[in-house]
Amino acid sequence: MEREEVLARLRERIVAFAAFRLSKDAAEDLAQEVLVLLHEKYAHLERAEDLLPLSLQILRFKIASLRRKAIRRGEFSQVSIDDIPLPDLDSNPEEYMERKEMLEQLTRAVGRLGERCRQLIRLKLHGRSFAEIQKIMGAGSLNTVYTWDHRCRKNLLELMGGHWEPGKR
Amino acid sequence: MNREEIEKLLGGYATGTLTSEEQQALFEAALGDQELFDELAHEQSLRDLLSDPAARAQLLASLDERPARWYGRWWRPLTVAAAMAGVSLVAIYVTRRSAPAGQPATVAEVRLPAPVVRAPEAPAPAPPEPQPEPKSEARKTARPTTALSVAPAPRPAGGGGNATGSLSGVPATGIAAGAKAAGSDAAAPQFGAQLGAQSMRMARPAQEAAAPAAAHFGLRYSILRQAPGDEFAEADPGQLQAGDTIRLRFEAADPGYLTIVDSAGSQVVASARLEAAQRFDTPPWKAGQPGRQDFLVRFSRDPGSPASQQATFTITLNFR
Repeated sequence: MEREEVLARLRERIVAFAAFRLSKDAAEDLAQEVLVLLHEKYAHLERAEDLLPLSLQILRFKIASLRRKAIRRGEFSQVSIDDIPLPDLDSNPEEYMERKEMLEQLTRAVGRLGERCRQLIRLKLHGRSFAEIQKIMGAGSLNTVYTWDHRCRKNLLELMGGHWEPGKR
Repeated sequence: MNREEIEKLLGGYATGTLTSEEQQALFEAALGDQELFDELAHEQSLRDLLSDPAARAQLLASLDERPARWYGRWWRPLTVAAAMAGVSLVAIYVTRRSAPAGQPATVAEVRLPAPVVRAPEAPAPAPPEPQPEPKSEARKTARPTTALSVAPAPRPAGGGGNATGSLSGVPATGIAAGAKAAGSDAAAPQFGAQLGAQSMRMARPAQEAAAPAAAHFGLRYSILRQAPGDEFAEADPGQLQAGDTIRLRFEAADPGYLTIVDSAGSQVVASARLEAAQRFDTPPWKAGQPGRQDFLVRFSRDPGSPASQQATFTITLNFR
């Protein structure tokens, strides 16, 4: 898939994703800002495996920034495009606290998982691939490991309250 | 891969577990599927968190800790409870084993007020000062010989001594315990027979003197020996010699009737009514031969009291 095709599909997906959470105009502008950033700062990336995670990361930071600003100004619906800043990818105290809270909640939720899920997550955090996990855990097939991981993720997400980030439902 | 299989790859996105092929399959599917794209966008926050090595290490550390079992928080109190139950069972077993078999357990018991007589294990202390005696009796206070009560003998009020007035003028030492003074009109003694032995020696008759009820009546006695100057003084029971002239002195805290019987001859040596804190001396006799002589002493509040309400004990004298 060519870069231009990847960016076009990314824009479509980002607009749809942001429109569900922000206004339609804000979603359009948000997608535009993500693409501009990808075009200007990450022009060397062409593959979808590189562009998509990066676009999702930028998108997350921009949405978080918009929400914080809307809360500070008391704006909960319409957001002027003039007030939407470029994303600050550096950590800030607020982001630090959110991550800390998320980590604590994740730690508690992981502690309540079953032993197989804990073993599976442990191997994943150690950088093992699904194929390696299949051998280590003695799964019959790779699809079995996918199924285990899918159930564990669903279970962990439920223990986290339905969302990875605390306070966002 | 179909849609369902690709969706199972979502769990590997945040942890970076996916291979290149898996990533390509997932991302291409996400670019064409809005729902999958949204799911992937939601995973981004977890991916960002786990991309931090410190956060990943903390999560790994929590995973390495063994999760607490459901019974994990109960095993300590359960262990303590089991230990206490075991100790209780052992205690019950030992208690039941130590109880006499076949003997019914006593739930309640009615006891008569049985007074306890303390055995004359040691000579009682002498009165701190000489007791006033009638002029006819020479007085010389010596060590007390035997006492059934630790209370000091009170000084007789009114110069009592009429109990021995008809006898020889021999002094006596305090006998009865009790603090209150009483009148001096003690009944005159009645002497039934001569004392059999003439040579006596006082021993320490612990078991003989341990008769009941004496302490209850506050009865006290002592042994008097006639000194060369015709004075009677308290004598050491272990120093009695054949040829000594001896008499017994009694004193009770409460009024009562005293009877002294020579055990050998079953003869009444003396019988008299004692007033509270009133001394009474038996007639003197001379111990002619070495040996032992026992005297049965009986004391009661009333002349016709049953045996259960009498203080009865034996005085044993050993003469060398």
